[in-house]
Amino acid sequence: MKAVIVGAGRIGCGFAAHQLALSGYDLTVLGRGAALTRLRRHGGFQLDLTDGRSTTSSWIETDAVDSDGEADRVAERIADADLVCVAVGPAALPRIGALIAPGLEQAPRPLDVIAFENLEDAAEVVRDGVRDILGEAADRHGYSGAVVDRVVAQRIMDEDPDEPLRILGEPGGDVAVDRTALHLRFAPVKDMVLAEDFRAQFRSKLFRYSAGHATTAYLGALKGYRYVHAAIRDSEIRPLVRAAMIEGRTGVAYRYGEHVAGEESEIDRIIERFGNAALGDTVVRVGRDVPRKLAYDERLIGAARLAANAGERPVALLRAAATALLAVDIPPQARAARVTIGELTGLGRDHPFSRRLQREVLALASGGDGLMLSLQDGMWAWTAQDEECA
Amino acid sequence: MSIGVVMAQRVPQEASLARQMIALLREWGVTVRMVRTGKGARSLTDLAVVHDMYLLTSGSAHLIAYATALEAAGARCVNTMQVTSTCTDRVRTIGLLAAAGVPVPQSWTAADPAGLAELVQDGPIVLKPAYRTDGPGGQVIWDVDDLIHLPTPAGPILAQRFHPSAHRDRKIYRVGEQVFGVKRTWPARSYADKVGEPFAVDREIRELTDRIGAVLGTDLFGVDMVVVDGAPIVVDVHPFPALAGVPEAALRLADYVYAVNRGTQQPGDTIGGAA
Repeated sequence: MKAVIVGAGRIGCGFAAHQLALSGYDLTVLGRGAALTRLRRHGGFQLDLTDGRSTTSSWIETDAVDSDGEADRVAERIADADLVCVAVGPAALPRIGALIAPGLEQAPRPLDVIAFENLEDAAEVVRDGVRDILGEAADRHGYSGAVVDRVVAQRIMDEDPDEPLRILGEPGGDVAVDRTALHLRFAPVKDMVLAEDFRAQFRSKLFRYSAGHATTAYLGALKGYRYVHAAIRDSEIRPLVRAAMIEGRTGVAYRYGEHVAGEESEIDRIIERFGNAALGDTVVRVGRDVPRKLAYDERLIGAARLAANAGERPVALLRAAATALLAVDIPPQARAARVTIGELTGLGRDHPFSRRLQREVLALASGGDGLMLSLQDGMWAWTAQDEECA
Repeated sequence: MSIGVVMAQRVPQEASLARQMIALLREWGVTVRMVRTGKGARSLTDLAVVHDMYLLTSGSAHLIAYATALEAAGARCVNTMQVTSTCTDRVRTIGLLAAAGVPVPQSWTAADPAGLAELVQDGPIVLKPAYRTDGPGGQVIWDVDDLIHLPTPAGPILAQRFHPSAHRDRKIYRVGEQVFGVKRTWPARSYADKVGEPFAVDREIRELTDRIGAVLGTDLFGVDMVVVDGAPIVVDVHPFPALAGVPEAALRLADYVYAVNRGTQQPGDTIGGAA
């Protein structure tokens, strides 16, 4: 069996390639730049999986093709594959259709394309991109998103090209794909769950795990921590993260059922995973791409809306969202305007959440570019304002 | 990842910042070893640099000398020994700051307290040993009688004009790009006095720490400050921030040390994100 992985990044190499290699697939990674050079030179990469106590290293063999400069080989490999996996990040995803369309057109049989992106409509984005090139012929192939339950924190490239690419992540973790959208002619992949209710699975992860991760990152940044594992140790942040995840879980349970929402004890296990220092995961990495993470259906606002539908007041989720709003790169006065909040979150200016967010942003904005010492007391370590020394 | 903490005592006190920080770093998978100088002889000719990084949280002249030798042998120190040595010498530190235009109180140095009699005529002064390793100092001399009854100091002294507001002084801590402030009553008469009360540092004080950091070449230090007529004045600089009174002090310091050790301490690195 052969698989093509589009993207030589953290998830492409650190999860998709690993699971496929364990399942006996021959791999081709489509990449570019320094990562491609190293994959070619070494014929693979090193994968280190650590739970903070012990680390397991393995070598993943893979062929590599230049996604920018070898269009014919890209098409040839895709046409010859049994499965295509995409992991390029949300920003690059709309351009992937054009890259894989020639190969899909040449494929002698329907293929499945799985987008390993933390994006609810990732499958649609890829399919639409392919449709732009192939028209209705795109629809003979299957397209699914993927819910990956593994943090892959770092892709490490030493300055020395003689050193192979190294990927650092946490062990274990399964992946859920949309059974209803795929042809499933590929051989079983280790730890791949074929979900009938993919959207429910996606939101269950997004509104619990991702909401908690984002809350840790935004509150952590507000309080001046550099690392996720440090932020989650803070005596004020940890309970707020847990509260945000409980709120998210309540919404998921209400909408999709308790069996999808999972036990509350799962939340504590997830929080323990956030404390895995060996990943070296920073609040900057986890929190970046703020506008996307603040969107209407996303981990904070989407989770808050669903929680409210379930009768839960999403206090912690909205607090995290307000903190995230501080990080959006717009003038401070615009940031606190309800119309801006309404647009950024998709809630509209008159939504009750927009009012609440405005209040929170105004309170937080008083600190300027400062660092918050205490969330409970609203105390800043420093402020941008000049104050009388008394 | 391994860190050597250079210290005199075998185990830091239970509630100490160093002990809590070390516990966190160990929990995060960092190998932390105490490098004790003890009272015995330590070889200088075959010093082994065995840790990725060294940290000196406090110390005697002997500790600083040993850490300086370690650094000379190639050890990477979080707080460089040049900065530590400078801050250990109060006269040198205040002189450097004054020359750079950082506001400091009127200050003098003398080999013998008797030479300060004339200054006391103009108002009270505070005496401190020139070398931090000779003691904390901070004795207020109100009149010549106080001078007469002073024990003979171990070495040269630093004298600074005493301001009544010094009873309510400010401890300012710089950790990387971050600044923390604590108001404290001096001298401390209770635990609450000793711990103090955090306050929001304003722009003026923050910029002052930028200037001090630039003069001394460090972003890890503590500052004793008093406010006179509404303006902050620097009375002392410590080569390591004690962070007493700062919420989650050990966690913050461990986060910083971890980042320095990984080489990912990047001031100004923010989440950002265009709308």
